[in-house]
Amino acid sequence: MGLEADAIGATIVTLLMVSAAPKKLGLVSASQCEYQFGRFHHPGFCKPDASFTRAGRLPKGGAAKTRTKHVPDLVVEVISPNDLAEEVFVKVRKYLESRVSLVWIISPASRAVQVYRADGTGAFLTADAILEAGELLPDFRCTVAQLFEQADLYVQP
Amino acid sequence: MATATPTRHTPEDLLEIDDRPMPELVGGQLIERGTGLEADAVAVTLCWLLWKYSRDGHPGLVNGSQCGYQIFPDDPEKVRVPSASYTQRERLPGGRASKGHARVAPDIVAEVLFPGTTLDDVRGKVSDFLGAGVPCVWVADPDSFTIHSFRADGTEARLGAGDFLDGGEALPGFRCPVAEVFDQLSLVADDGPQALPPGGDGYRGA
Repeated sequence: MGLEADAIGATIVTLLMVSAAPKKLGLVSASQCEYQFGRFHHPGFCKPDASFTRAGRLPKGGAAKTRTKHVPDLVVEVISPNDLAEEVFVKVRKYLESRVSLVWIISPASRAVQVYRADGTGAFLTADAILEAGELLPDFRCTVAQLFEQADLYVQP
Repeated sequence: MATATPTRHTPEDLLEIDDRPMPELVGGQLIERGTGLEADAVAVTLCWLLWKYSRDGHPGLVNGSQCGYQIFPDDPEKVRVPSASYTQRERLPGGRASKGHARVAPDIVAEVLFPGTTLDDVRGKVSDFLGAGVPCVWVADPDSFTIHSFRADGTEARLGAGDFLDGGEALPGFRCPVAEVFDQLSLVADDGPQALPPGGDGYRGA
């Protein structure tokens, strides 16, 4: 993957930190946090670009030094140009069936976000639409454009 | 006995790898990078601290743990991937970075030791970045809550709880308690979130 995809991933991670860190609401993870849970029972397949787990649901005492088996509350994936739509759909279904309550799929090419919630609702958001995380992270609020702000400002078109 | 010639990979090959973490490329060979919830959490915090610094009057590009740097004079095909980095806008040609691997040496490189990796294991990587013109490299160890700071002038410092992290002339105004870098770890510590005092604002501008 290249600099632009990383810049988008770094932006999402920092925006999550802005709303999670001051009150210690939970753990913000990036793509070097490897999960093994539910439908992702084979090791090595689940390293979302960003994720968030509420404080009360985290494993304790170094149990998760390498691969962690807890289920995050929010998972964010940034689509790569090589990803097949089928692969992305399979992943989303696996997340929801594994009781991840909120999934954001970010598409750099269309500058859009597809939101999937555990209750079956969802939304396709672009530009000035507001992305929120509900009760998971009450203070999280940004426009879709903000997710791509770093990439738009600093990466050659 | 004949041995198979290992496949030589190119920097372009790395860009086609979608699995995370993106490996490094040294001598045509892929060097795997580690995973781990705790080390990842420290990398996230370092990225966030640099992001706050950039938003606080020091505009620049903040990268996370999947941005390759192809900036090494000893091997134009070498690609190193740090845990976090920051490049001030004035140093990017036209204020923008290229799309593939980064071609401009960043102002700061932060590396986190993942499980099974020691400070000695990353000394080569630190030297590569310093040799490429990066003024300062931090290496954070989540097990000991310490940060080793390496400067281009050859000085090295080991910073622990109670110390402050700075970037010297490369990051004017950046000053952050070392403990803040490891703040997310209190969420997964044995005694729960109360083991360490509540988090502050992390980096504070001068």
